[in-house]
Amino acid sequence: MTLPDIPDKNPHSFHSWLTAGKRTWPYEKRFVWSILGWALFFSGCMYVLRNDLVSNPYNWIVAILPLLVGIAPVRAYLVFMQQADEMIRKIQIEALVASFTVGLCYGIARTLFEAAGMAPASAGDTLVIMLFTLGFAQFYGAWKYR
Amino acid sequence: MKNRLKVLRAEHEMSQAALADKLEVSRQTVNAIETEKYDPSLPLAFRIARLFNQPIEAIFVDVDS
Repeated sequence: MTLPDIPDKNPHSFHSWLTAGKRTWPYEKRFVWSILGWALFFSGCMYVLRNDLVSNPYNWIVAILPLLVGIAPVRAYLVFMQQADEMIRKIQIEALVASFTVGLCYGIARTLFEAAGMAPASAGDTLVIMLFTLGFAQFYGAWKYR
Repeated sequence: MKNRLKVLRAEHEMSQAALADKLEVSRQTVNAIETEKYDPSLPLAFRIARLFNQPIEAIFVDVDS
């Protein structure tokens, strides 16, 4: 049986399938802004520390500050997950699993390759790879169920 | 699990977004259930049944049974 296709008043745009829906959008927006704000703050603190703009012991305070400010995006993400519906939660959980698995595999492979003679890689690489995978998996999940 | 959600939605002339609004879920959820990529939770299945005023088993059919 062929069913009539009933169009939405607002056609599905790139934005409409990438975001979690009208009800969850404010929480998603809050998370995105808080993570961007944190990234900016982290970059600022890193600049201060790398250029020795503060002396000991204040450099330790500058090093600790991004960790404390980091509570804001974590909390925003938790609230977003609590408010999201079951499909959005499924997409997020699948993305987190993919990110963790890729990060773990990369970490293990890196250790083995370094033992085999590969030049040592930066420890920060694992974090970057995990975050990149998380973003990609979220994008893929939103596309899959669009 | 097979379901008649798309048929019911078409009978009620509702868009996916309108149905999602009524069920308080995202449009992706409605689409994923209709395309049978995802089986809804029991509370959501009850909400769908209440909305269309039909028993759950008239909307969702377990193909294994």
